[in-house]
Amino acid sequence: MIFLLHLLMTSATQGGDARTHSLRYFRLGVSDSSQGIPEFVSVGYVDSHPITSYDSDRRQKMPQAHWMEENLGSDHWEKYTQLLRGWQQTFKVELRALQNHYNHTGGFHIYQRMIGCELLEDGSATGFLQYAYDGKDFIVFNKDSLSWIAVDNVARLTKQVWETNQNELRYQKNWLETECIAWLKKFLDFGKDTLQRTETPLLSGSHKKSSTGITTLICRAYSFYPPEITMTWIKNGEPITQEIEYGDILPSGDGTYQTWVSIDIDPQSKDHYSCQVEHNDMLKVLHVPVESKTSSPFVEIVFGLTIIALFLIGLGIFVYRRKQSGLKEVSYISTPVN
Amino acid sequence: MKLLCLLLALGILAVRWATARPGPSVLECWFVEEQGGGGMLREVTKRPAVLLLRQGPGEPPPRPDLDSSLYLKVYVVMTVFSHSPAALVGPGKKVTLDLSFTYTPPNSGGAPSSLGPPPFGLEWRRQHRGIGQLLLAVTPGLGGQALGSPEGAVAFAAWDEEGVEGPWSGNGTLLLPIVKPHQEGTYLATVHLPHLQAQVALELQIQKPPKVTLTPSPVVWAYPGQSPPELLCLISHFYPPEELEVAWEFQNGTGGAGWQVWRSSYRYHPDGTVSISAYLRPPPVTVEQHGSHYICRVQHSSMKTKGLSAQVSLEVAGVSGPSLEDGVGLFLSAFLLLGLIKGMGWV
Repeated sequence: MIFLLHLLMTSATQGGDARTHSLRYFRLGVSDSSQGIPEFVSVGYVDSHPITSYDSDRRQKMPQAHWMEENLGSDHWEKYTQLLRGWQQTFKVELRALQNHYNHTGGFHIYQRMIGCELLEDGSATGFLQYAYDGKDFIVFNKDSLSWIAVDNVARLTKQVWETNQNELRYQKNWLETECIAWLKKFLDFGKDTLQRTETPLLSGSHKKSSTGITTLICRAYSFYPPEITMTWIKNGEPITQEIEYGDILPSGDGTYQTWVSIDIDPQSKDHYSCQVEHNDMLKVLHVPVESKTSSPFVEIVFGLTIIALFLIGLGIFVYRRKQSGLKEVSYISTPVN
Repeated sequence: MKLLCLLLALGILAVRWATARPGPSVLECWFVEEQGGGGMLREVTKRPAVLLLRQGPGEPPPRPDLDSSLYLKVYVVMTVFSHSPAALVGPGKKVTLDLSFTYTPPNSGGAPSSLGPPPFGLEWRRQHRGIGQLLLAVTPGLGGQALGSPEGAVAFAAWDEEGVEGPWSGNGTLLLPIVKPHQEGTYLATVHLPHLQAQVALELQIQKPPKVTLTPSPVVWAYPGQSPPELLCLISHFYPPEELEVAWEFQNGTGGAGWQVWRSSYRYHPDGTVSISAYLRPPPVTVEQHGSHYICRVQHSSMKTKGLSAQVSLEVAGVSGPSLEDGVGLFLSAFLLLGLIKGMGWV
């Protein structure tokens, strides 16, 4: 039973369109390609959008967004295709070395690398480069101290080797702080109609009554972009954290996203609930009234008794009429006494 | 440099050290030799070895099973170890990630070079699924700013005693008062001493088994040839979200083929646990299926081998005779009717 409620909405917009953006490249190597996954895969993302892809089956770096294809010439794709073919080989060798060190000669093992940077709202930047083995963090680059953080004993051996070449460390730091940010800015410009657009969330409130007598208020946000959003419940003006559930932020298929937040309440309460949504420097508040025509157990009992009373009255009239007609019959047969 | 590496290795190996003091005399370990080479990892050979430990003068305990030509005399300057290299807890619990370290100045045989233990640095870092965070960095005795302790983590960072002469032992234990699921991961503790550093990795895993409820319960009704109502199996407040298996069973292990089953997406709770709903739309039932059960079976990484299950029994209409409830209902109806008739003065 879901009733769509009428909405009371207030919204306030502040500031410009500054928001955090990121550029990330992922590499994945697997020890066994017979499971339908290519031995090596490399993909690039700006924010949540795939921009490039390469794998050991196609052996070609391909654009994954029309604005990448339109803005970068074939020389770009050819140059990085050649580089990736080399990196593919390095990755394979490194995965084998790791398997040896962990005594994992057989079985299915994975090796991953993530490199990228973020341009934050305030104009500052971050950079990261790290590796994982079998889904667990393995080694992490610390660009500020020009060193690697090793997570286990095998990673410590890798750390020793990788730290011997100081120039390599400085190159990585420079790539993260300068080149990565430069590429990110370039791509943000190429795809500005997609990446820098804002679609404000539409909100709807509803409530659902469970068989156990608990009422759940649900606040949904949809048709918004970018996917980053914060939803909270406000009870009588105070933010609350208990009895709350959140949903995933899911793509709607049209480039926008949707999510929800719910809260379990006592249907008798006179509290005021509203759902507060923060999206891209904008704040929206949706008042979600608790259903006014509450059907408390008392009301249900009164209703039930009324039905029984009506039935009994009906039955009484029926019986009375039967009796009357019966009397008539009787009076018809025998002589009335008085 | 070589000595430093060996000491570092010792610090790492000491994670499994069982008692701090007086400490064991024998440690099983690996003897790792570098073979040079390049690329990502140097070629190494690993051989099983034992470390025979002694404090002060005297010979190590005899080990006739070992080749005496392979005896290496190592002077231990620094050790870092933990009694809890792996912890598995439920959310909301208090977690103690204990860390001890020792320092024996190399020249303690000669004149004391210092009047007390040296300053040290302690760093706690968490690394999990690509996200790394420095939790704490302190340098007791050196002043300077302690890097904040987010998440209410408390670290003890002090020498146990400040005696004039070593060896000294210290404590760098990290306390997480009310642990939340997002705090799971590998905790890296690094102790810095002048010209020395050693690191240990501790695993903190958070688990909470789900609660499983099936609705409607305890009975579903259906007419022969019709489908019972949709069944909802609610699997709630568990962690981690992965490694959850939900299976529907009918009667005893049968059924499943052609059944319409689906799952909700995850619902997240403020305490970091998650819930999920699994649904079953049963196919039409036959008279013979009366009395069988629909079972929702749940297996999760937090439960060793035995999973959880909830069940509901199927009642096919027109099969069963009048139940006790029916009998009571009939009696009450008759009683009421009799009263009514009497009250109306009909008899």
